[in-house]
Amino acid sequence: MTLKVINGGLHTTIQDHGRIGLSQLGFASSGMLDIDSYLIANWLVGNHGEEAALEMIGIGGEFLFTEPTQFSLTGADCSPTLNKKPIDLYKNYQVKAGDKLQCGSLRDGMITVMAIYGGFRVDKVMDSASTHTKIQIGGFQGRTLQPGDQIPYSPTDEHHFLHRSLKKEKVYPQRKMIRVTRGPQSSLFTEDTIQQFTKNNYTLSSKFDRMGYRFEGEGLYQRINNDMISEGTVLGGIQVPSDGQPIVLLNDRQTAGGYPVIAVVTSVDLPSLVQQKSGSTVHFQWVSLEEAQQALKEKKERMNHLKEGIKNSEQWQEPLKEEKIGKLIRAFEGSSLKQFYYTDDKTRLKLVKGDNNSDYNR
Amino acid sequence: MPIGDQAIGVYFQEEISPQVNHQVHQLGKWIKQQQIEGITEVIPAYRTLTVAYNPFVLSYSELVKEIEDGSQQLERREEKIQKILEIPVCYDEEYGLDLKDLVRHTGFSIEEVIARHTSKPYYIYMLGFLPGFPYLGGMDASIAMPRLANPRTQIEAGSVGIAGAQTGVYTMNSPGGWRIIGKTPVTLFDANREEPIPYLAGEWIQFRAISKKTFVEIKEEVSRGAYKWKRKEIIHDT
Repeated sequence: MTLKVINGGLHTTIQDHGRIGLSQLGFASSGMLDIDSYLIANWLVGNHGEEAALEMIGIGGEFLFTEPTQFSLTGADCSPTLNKKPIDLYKNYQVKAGDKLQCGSLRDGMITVMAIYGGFRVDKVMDSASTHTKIQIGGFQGRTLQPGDQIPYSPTDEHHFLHRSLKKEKVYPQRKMIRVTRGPQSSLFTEDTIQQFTKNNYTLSSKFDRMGYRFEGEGLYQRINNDMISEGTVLGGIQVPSDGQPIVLLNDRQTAGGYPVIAVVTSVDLPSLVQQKSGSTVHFQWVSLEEAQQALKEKKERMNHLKEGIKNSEQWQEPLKEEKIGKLIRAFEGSSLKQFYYTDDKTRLKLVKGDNNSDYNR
Repeated sequence: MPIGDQAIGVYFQEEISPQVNHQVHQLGKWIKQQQIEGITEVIPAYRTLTVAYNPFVLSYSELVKEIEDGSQQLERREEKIQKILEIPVCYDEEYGLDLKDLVRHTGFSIEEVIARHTSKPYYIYMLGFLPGFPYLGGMDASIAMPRLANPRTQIEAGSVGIAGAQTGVYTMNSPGGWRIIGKTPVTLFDANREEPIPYLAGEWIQFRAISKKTFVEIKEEVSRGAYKWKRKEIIHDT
């Protein structure tokens, strides 16, 4: 009842929503960097969305299933294969004992998420399965996955498999224009520097981890004042140390920081930001708090819609069975409809009343 | 002041002092007591309180109003309870790796350094850097010493150190540049304990010098799960 790790990849950890409410003790939340891909991956395998999943950064891993289950991959394309045959992201797959999933280097982003039916069964630490490797807690022994690790999961009933899939383009937009709101210390910078921050491009350096992403570009040096007393940090806060290069603070950040925060990445654009590859370039754009929250609200509505869509896709993607067709014909005959069409990937059905010409093909 | 689209920063007077920090903790405590739905984090620091919220449950303006109400209430509450946790520390050279250097630097004897370091309780301004790492205030300035020029790659959990005029204790193994003067046998951070960290910011820590023998005894009690924290509360009338 475990997923055997043959190769852990570059930096693969178990994550979920994270540890909430412990910042006052000095714990950052941890949790999935790309929360959108995390939710969608879970929905695709029929989970509610809170189940522990794998987060693979940079290079994916290689895994052996020891019990039947279903899984899905979302986020960056890791050129996955199942038993050496290429498979798609944003789609759920049924597997049996002995099946092997292989992932390679991530091509169009930084993070691939792998969800499994029912989630990975690891002990929660302070109400979360999330791994925080720096303080060595949570997930699988508080660390990244290594060859030989066996991650528990619950086997699925094979008879209940339903196909679910999504078009990646719809849900993986990867914005290059990252919306930000003014940071609490933005007034310590000169107006010129504030302008410069959104005029220039910033490139993600090779210095990135789950604590923060360091960007490089025109230095943000000009300050009215340098003095600042350490204060609490927030997810997406953009710190500017004395070298003028911005650092976006992420899920495993320290809970207090003493560098001025020029801006804060909007929650709606965080998934796009964390999916940048090292060497790729972004543009920051100032928005107001109202705009940021409105955009977040719209996104939440889109995501809810998507969740419903995934749920509904269950019936339509499943090939129609003889008895279901019989039911449809009887329902049609008992109705006042003159004609009835039904099509999906696997079935085309046309029913016309009165001429005994009902037919269907599959 | 908004800090991103899911947090608010409350800023008090711009200084590091127990008086200002006390206001931060009072407001933090008040907000927690209200159990306002939609608040996800309350993070006290030296002079700021960062309050994270879920904007789908609680709006920015609603939260601002709650905080304003709270601030007004606080002006009327004056009772001060000083909660002090005793932390036993063995100031032996085996653990106090930089004790000799500190003696040289200050010109005091080892006994004098220990006496000054344990002379009074220290105020916990905030926790951070490591889980439960206390930023302590109030150390005797005569035993201050700059950080190491080359930080150590590994400092053991429980190590007590000095960095400039600050003192603190490492709650887990970590690289660091503090001058290490002793070590506590108690486990300050344990993620699987009901109370992962035995103190909160706004409370006090009192270091007490123990012998190597006592260090071993307490260590053994800790491993059996039999160690009892020594706590004290002092109520100050104002």
